[in-house]
Amino acid sequence: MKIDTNYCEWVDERLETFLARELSDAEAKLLQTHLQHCGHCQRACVLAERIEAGLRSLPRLECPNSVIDHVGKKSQRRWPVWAAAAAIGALALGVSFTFNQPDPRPSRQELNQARAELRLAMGYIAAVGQLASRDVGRTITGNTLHPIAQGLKLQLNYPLIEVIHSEESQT
Amino acid sequence: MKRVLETLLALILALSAVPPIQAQDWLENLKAQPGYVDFGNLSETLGAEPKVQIALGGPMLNFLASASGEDDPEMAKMLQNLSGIRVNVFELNNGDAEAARARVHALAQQLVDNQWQPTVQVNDPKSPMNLFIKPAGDHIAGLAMMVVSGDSQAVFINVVGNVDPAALGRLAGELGISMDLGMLPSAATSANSGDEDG
Repeated sequence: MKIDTNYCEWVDERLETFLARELSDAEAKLLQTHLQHCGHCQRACVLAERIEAGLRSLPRLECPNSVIDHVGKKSQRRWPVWAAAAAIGALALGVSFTFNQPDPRPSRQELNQARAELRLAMGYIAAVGQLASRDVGRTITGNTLHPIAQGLKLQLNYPLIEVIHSEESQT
Repeated sequence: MKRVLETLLALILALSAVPPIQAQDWLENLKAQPGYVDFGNLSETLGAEPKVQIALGGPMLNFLASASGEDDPEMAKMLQNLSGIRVNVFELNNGDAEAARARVHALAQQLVDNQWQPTVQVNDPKSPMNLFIKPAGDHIAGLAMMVVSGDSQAVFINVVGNVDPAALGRLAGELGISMDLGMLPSAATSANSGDEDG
């Protein structure tokens, strides 16, 4: 943790937080170490403690109703109907936009499920292709689509065919 | 102010009840693509629910591509180019086989009418098989496979997107679960096979 070389300035910035016991352990320890050797900061710390104690000792006053009413009226005046409607509309747009964001990334379970489905789909594609290859063996010649032949040859091992008529295969 | 906050809270609750954009939006996008095949209501036609029903959309395929990018760049690229993979497998009962064959025949005619290119067509009365592609310029926009195996099974497959048949063929063989569709060889057993000339 980097500390300003001017320790007193560093301590002065954190004194209030230190007295409120909200400083981190490491910083509190450093601050206390400095206080042991710096009279200026010791006096500043004592003064800060007195001020805080004094503030805490002050009686708690109840706010007069007239003040509450006055502040309430002012806050109401700051929120006319049209402003409230505009705020609601803006919030509605924001929420609607949030809900209409693209689907979030699927969970691992969903991804695994999709992988399994993909494998199954590929299996059926391969199986149908293999079945076609058995039938292709008895086909008649025909025009081929070269890109398809290139790919399906991996499964069909035959050039592509035209329509097969079972009657013709029996002749 | 309290009333405003209450109204805001009610609005938030109301909006949270509105379903977000459905994940099925990808299906609507898919339907608009030239490589999409509308098989119709197969469950109603065949009188049965599918034994296997797979529908992988573009978004999920992209996630799968990302997940496999480093291990298999070719598969990742193929998946990224796809918009959807749909597979429907039906186990047929007695009367369903005829309906399935009729449906396959009707779909084949429909695809031809929509400028799909037949690559494999087996007009076997018991076990028709059709494999179509949808050409789109210099690439393939879709792949459709429809097969009825005797009286036992019917399979409808539609791959939508920029299909690379070579990659698809390789990956189907490598990635796919090895399976036997249990299909009887069609006319190859009912006729003397080996007549390869036309």
